[in-house]
This record gives sequence, C-alpha cells and structure tokens, in this order.
Amino acid sequence: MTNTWLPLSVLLSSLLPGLIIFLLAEEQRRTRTLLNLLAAVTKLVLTGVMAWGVFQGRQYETRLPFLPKADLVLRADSFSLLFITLSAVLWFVTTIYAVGYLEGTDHRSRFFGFFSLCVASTMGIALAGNLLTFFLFYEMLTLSTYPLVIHRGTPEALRAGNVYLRYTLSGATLLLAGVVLLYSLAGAVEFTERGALGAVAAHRTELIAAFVLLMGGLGVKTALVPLHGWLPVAMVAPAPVSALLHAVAVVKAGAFGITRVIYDVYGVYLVHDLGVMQPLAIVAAVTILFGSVRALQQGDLKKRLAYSTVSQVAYIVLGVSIFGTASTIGGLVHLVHQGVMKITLFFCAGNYAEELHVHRVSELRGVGRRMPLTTAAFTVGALGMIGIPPVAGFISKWYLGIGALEAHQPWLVVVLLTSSLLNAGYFLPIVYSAWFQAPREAWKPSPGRWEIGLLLLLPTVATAVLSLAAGLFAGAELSPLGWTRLLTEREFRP
Amino acid sequence: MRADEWASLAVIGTLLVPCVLTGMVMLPLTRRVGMALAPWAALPALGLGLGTGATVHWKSVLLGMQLYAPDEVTRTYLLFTGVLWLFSGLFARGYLREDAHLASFWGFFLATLTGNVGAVLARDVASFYLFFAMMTFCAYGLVVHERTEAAARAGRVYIVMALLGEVLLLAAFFLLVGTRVNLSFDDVPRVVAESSHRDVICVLILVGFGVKVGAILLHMWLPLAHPVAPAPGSAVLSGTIIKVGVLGWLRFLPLGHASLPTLGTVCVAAGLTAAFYGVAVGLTQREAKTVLAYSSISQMGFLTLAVGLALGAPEAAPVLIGAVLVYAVHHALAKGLLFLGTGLLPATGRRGWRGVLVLVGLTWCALEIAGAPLTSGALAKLSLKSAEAAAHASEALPTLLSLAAVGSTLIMARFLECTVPKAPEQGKAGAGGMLLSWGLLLAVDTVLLFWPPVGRDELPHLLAPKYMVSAAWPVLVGGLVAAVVWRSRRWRTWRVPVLPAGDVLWPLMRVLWPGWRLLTTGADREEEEQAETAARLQGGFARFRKASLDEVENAEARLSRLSHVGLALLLFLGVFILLLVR
Repeated sequence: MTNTWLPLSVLLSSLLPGLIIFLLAEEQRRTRTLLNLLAAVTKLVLTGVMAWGVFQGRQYETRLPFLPKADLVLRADSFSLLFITLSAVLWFVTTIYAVGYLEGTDHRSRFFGFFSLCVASTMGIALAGNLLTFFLFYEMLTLSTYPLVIHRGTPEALRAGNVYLRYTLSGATLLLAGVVLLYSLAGAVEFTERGALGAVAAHRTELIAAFVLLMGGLGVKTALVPLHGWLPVAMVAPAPVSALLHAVAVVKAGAFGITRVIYDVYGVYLVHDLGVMQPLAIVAAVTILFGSVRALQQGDLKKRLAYSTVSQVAYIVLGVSIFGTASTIGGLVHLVHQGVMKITLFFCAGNYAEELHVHRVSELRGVGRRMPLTTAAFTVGALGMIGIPPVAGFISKWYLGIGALEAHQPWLVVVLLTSSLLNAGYFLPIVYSAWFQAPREAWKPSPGRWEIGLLLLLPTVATAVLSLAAGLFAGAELSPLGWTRLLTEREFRP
Repeated sequence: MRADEWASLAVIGTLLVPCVLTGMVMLPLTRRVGMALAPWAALPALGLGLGTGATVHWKSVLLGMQLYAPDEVTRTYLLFTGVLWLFSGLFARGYLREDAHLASFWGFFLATLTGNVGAVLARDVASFYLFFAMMTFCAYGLVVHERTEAAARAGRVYIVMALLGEVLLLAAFFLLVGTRVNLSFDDVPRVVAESSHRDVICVLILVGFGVKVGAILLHMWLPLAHPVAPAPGSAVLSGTIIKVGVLGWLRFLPLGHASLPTLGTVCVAAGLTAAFYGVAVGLTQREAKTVLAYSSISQMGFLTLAVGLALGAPEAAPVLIGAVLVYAVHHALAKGLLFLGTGLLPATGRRGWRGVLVLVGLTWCALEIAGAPLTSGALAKLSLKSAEAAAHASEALPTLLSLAAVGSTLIMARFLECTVPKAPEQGKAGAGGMLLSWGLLLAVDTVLLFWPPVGRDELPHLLAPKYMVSAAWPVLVGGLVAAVVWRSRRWRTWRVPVLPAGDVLWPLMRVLWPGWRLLTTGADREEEEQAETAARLQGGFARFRKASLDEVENAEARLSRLSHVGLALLLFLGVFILLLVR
C-alpha cells in the first residue's frame, strides 16, 4: 500500500510556515517563534511516522506531473529517511538556537522565512525520487541560502554572498548538463536501489561523461578541492546559518547527491565497472588532507571549523567511492555523524562569539571556567572529529578504515589516519587552552543563572549528547549505524 | 537475583562506580560528595579481582561490547590495578589537600581509572580501544595537573606520542578485524596467527602499545610526564597505566599460536637495550621521579624481553605470560610505592619515627626493584629466568639479566641519593592519612609476596641457596659500586654529566618542530621560546614556507574571483578525466 500524502506534507511542513513568516511583521516575535517551533515539531512527528513506516516496509510516494515523461516525484526510501531524520532533528535544535541567537536583531522575519525555505529545499532534496526533482530542489537550496549568507548585510557578507553564488550557480550548470545528458540517454531516471541505468550500460563514454559532469556540479556544494573556495568565505553568515550550512543543508546536499548518483542512479556495480570510483576516491583523499592542513593554519575559530568541514565531508565521498559494504556504511553513517558533531562545534563557536565576543582560537584561553558546558560540548565534538571513541566519529572512521582495506586500498588508511592526526593537531590545542590555561584577563561574569541563555545552551548540549549517544549505542538497531547497515545491505544485495 | 546476575552486576559495577563518580565530581551540585567518595572508586575492581564475575555482553553498546572473562590475565590485572588505584586514591586525599585544582584532579583520576579498568575488562577489540583511548586521554589531565610550563611541555610530548600510538593501533585493528567489524578476544590470537597480514599486524601492535609501555625509542614521554604529575598520578601512570600496554601485547599478539622468531629476537634485543639504556640515562638524572621513570623504562625492558621470547617460542608462551604477570604485579606495587614515597617523604621529614619508617619502606621497595633475595623482585626475576629456560633462550641471557640487576641496584641507589638528602628534617602536620595509606599499601605488597596471585609454584625456590646467591650478588655488587662512588664524591667533587630528561626526544624535536611550525603557519599562537638550533633551522624553512603559503592563499583568492570559478571547474574536470584515462 502506498501512502501519497506524507512525503508532500513533510515538504510543506517547512515550506508553508516559511511563506507565512515572510508575511509576519518584524515585531510579531511570539507568533513567529511559535510558528517555527510548531513547524519543526510537526516535521519531527511526520518524519518519525514515516521512518517507522519505512522500517516496516511501507511505501511513501507523491507524484505530480511536471514535464512530459518526467514527473515531480517525492519518495521516501530508507536513504532519504536517513537524511530527513537528520535534517528534521537538527532543524529543530537550530531553530531554537536561532531564536536565541538573533534575539533583538533586525530582519528576523526575512531570516526565518528563508531559513524555513532552506529546510524545505533540503527536504525536497532528500525526498526527490528522480534526478530532475533533485535538481529542482538543489537549485532552490542555493537561492534560499544566499539571503542567509548575506543576512548581516556588511560589505564582507555581500562579497561572500557573491562568491557563494558564483560557485554554486556554475556548479548548477554542470549538474544540469549532466542531468540532461542522462535524460537524453535513458529518459527521466528514477532513483532505484542498485541503480537504474542497467539498460544503457553499453554507452560507456556517455555515462562516464555524465558522471563527471554530475560530480563536478555536486562537488561544488560538497566543497571538494578545488571547488571548496566558497565555504571558508561563507563563514561570515550568522552562527546558526553556518551550523546548518555545514551540518545539514548545503555541503550535505552535495554529499547526499553524490551518494544518490553513485548508488541509486548508476548503481554501485556499474560505477565500479566504469572505473570512475578510484578517481573520485583520489579527489576525496586529496580534499581530506588539504582541508586538514588548511584548518591547521587558521587562527579564526569559524574558519578552522570551515576547513574541517571541507575535510570531513570528503570522508563521506571517500566512503561511497570505495567499492565495498564497510566503506559505504562508513561514508553514509558519517553523513549523520558529521552533521551532529559539526553542528555542535558551530553552536559552541556561536556561543563564544555571542557571549564573550571571542572569535579567534588564541582568545579561548581559560574559557572552560567561564562556559563549562559549552566547552564540554566543544570537547565532545572535537574528540569526535578526531575519531576518538565513544563519540560518533569513531564509528565512521572504524568502518571507513575497514572498508579501505576490504577494497585493498591500504593507502586510504594512511590518508585517514594522517587526517586524524592533523585533526588532533588543530582541535586539541583549542581544547587544551580552553580547559587548562589561565585566561588573559578575567571573563565578564554571566548576567544570568547559566553561562549563556538557555536557548543557546540547550541545543548545544543536546547535540553534544546526541554525538555521544550515536557512537556509544552504535550497536543498537535504530542508531544511525544500525539504519545505515540495513540500507547498505539492500544496496549491495546482488 | 540469581548468582550469575550478581556476578554480572559486579562486573558492571567496577566500571559504573568510577564513571558515576566522575559525573558527580564534574557537576557542582554533587561535587563534594563525589570527591569524598572518589578515593574508594577502585574498590569494586579490587573486589572483582579477588572474586569472580560473569561475562557481560551488550549488543547495542558500541560495536557489541563484551566485558570480563575469568582468565588469569584479567584477574591478576584487576587485582593489582585495583590495589594501586585504591591506595593512590587514599594517598591523594592527603597529598592534594591544599591543591588549587582538586576537582580537576579527581575528575581525571576517576575517568582514567574507568578507562584503565575497562581496558582490563574489555573482551572485544572496539571496547578495548574505547577504554584504552579513554585512559590515555584522561591521563593527560593528570600529567598537566600542575599547570606549569614544564607540565604543559610534558603533556604535549605525552599526547603527541599517545596519538601516534593510537593511530598505529587503529591501523592494526583495521587489518585485524576486517569485514567482521569487531572481534572477540577469544578469537583474536587465532585470527592474527592465521591472517595474511600477520607480520604487519604484529609490528603495529608492538609499536603501538610500545608507546604506552615505554619501549626503547618510544619511551620519551615517560621521563617527562612522570615527574610533573602529582605523586599519586605518577604512581598509577608508572604502576598500572604503562602495564596496560603490556596487556595490549598479551591480548593481541598471537602468543602461543604462531612462531615469529625474527620479531621475537627484535623484541628481546629491544628489551635488553632498554634495560641497560634506562639505567645508563637514569643515572645521570637529578630529579628523583625522573630517575624512577628511567627505572621503569629499564624494568619494562624485561617484560618486552619476555614477550619477545614468547613470540619466538610458542610452546613456552603460557609460562612466559605467567612470568610477565608476576613481574607486572611486582613492578606495579613496588614502583607505585616508590612514587608515592617521593610525595610522602617531604611531608613526614626524614627524622623522627615517621621519617625512619618511610626510609625503611623506601629502601625495601628499592631492594624489591633491584631483585634482592626474599623480595617480590626476586620472585619476579626467578619466574622470568625459569620461563626463559623453558623457552630455550640463549645461554647468555641469565648473565645479562644479572648484569641488568646490577644496573637496577645502581639506579635505585641513585634514586635514594636524589630523594633522601633533599627531604626536610622535620615533617609537616597532617601527614598521617598519607602515611597510613602508604603503609597499608606496603603491607599489601608484602602480603602478596607470601600469597602471590600468580607464580605460586616458584615461591619455594625463593629460599633455595642457589637462587639466594644468584639474586644476592648483583645487589651486593651494585651496592658496593654505589657506596664507593658515594664515598669518593665526599673528597673529590666530580659530577655526573646531566642528560635532559627525554634524551633522544630533543635531537628529534630539532627536526620535527620547524616542520610543525611550517604546517601551522598562519594560525596565531603564543610566541614561545625556541632553541637556537631550532630557530636557525626554521630560518631555512622560512622562505620556502612563505613562498608556498603565499601560493596557496593566492590560489584560493584567485579561485574566489569570478573568472576562476570556471577555471576551477575545468581543472576539476581535467584532473578527474586524467585520473580516468590513466
């Protein structure tokens, strides 16, 4: 039995509130916040229902006529649910955070309106049932995140916005070219487990060309080297935006797209057969190392985190571009793990900036005494990024390492472990100086009972706890790992 | 509840108690209670070491966590780990009474304890790694506890070496578990023995855990970290934490399942080198705790040697493992007592009955380390020698070991020389608690000589005249040499050359440090003092660094401009296609 309204309502649950919020006056703070939270909770519930249904084997599909021979398809399969659940949960916490973060600033209606649109696009990307739908929402994401990046309106922000648009729109051109090429070859390609291009597998050249175009287009948002230039620049955005950009929306949309193309458009066996996996793995490996080295050289906390994202998202690409179950599990589960850990780190960076006006790594000395919970959350995130158990990042790294060896590519293990060392090199000094060094001058005491407003503190702590739980209880059936294992088994079933 | 439920509860409790107490110490609300209970946190572990538990298996935790099996290794490790942590904790209560960072100490103490006990209990690869990492990283808090520049430097060396070790171990674990994802310890030795990567795995395991053990050339962190940590911290670091490295060897090497003569010989050679090298460098040190750290390096050399023999002679592996355990128990308690003693003596002073008691105790422990007759050291060396005989080791080995024992005696004499004269004449009030816990630990140590957890078969030999003589002569020779040197110094002032603690680390740093600065250029950082050579070398790097850095920055800036985005895309496509056609 197929349910046709649920995927659409998941999409609308953030699209409609977004449109309504645009109409609200700036002063209607309560209404706006209520609407935001209501939408976020609704989406969580709908996602939960859908996840349970998919777990039980039910079908969810909305199909709207769009172009001749190409419908607009929204379908929930286990892979989309992985991404949707991540987005829904993180959207919920980020909304709370953003309400606290932007308290008393201008243009909040505009901000939250585009914020909701951005999440709606992410939902669309996750639910897209074919390449065309995917492309549509992918571009909608670009356009809805641009106003968020330039939200502050400073010259620097506007410049960053320009860079962002140039990169993403150029990427879109390539993506469109790839989609059209595939369309001409095989019609509207529906995402199918184990690939949908089996019938045209003989057209090797065209398939490879389309693959390269698609990867080029998606690689921009994924921030693969050398297409990563926009990401560190886009750091001027407000903290909740950076958090969402880095954890769920933009870079993840790219990584999600790459995964979709490899597994559900081409099919992992075909991609392997075409010989395009190894080059992608090499690009990912270069990105991992380059991002880590560049992160080492940043003195600005958010910039360091940005380069860390460049490196960490490439882990996902690396995982899906090594042929084998273990690496696939590692890559996909890192999609979730990296999201939760990175959002924690960005929340922390936002907290430091908001409460103490600290932006640079060298200014963090002794911050642990003033903001212990935030710093504890930061520590969890940082340890997770390095891959120290029991934080979630460890699980990803474990599977990626095993997968690299399974595919007889020991050099990738060397890349992974070198990157871990580099990660330690740029995260541990921060953790050290925050906890163990004395502050240069006494911090100004907190005006409230807590180290920072609860609206900022609770999301930070919650995501840190999630990062810990996802790693510590990875063996559970409903953990990100459990879900990914289920999903990967289906992809690799011959 | 049924008996086996109680047994599993006992296993869970050993981890849960220190874990919950860590949480209590971290939260301001429960901090006082937590810190009052903290010294007792190791009691469940000790209890489990004395009794028996039941294997616990949680499928949902990590990658399927398995804890505890009632084998000899686990029980012995639990026993001495529990004892040393318990008494170090009780000692710390008095030692750190006026410390400024008390909560921080207890937090890290408890967390490290959790990791240490967990590493002993773990029965699968992933859980072992979890607890091992937890122990390693939390012990960092003990190392840097004093918040001094020396502590920070020691902490840096400690953490960098620990990370290198962890990375090597991860590589070994990846090779080991393969697509099974996780592996129970019941299968590990067999899988390693049958693996096509057997030798690589073994080398990675040896080096990875070698960092923790303080094996030769991986030992640099030990003499830096031990002296800066507070006395109870050093005691557990040198007593139990470095033993977990040996535990790693016992758990992961295919001892008894495969014969690796070459690797075994390398280990034997490395162990012997460490035994003598530790003494040689240790004798040049002036700080009592540094001398002890070098003694630990030397003593761990004996364990490396035993493990090496077991690698080469699978048939003798069980005996050798038994000897390793006897040695581990002996060294853990004796070295723990010595480290705690360095903290105790300034408090009791060296005059008065308390001072004399401590001095007698310290001398007794020093004799134990030296392996004097009728001490736990003699028992440990005896087990080692008879195990070697079972492994058909070289004829020269017993002689070399006796020579090394001369070295141990010398280094212990050096330790006493560094400790006793520096202690104040009169002690301070309120050292009673410390003295009591130290005395109790000494009593436990002595009791364990008559009632050892392992190696009971060798006990009667301890009284045999032949062994008495072979144990006595190195100590006598060492003592004699020490006395002559000490006397001669009275009328002729000559000095021992001083080597910086960490010895080979410093030449190494001259190469590594500029490299690191190069890598991290751009991040603003504190201006630190630099060695002159480092500065000169760095000057050489400076131009290259600037050139390369400017290039990267420029390239990224160019990329951000419109016309170059397209170029980047082209470049990406070009590289991709190039890789494709390759």
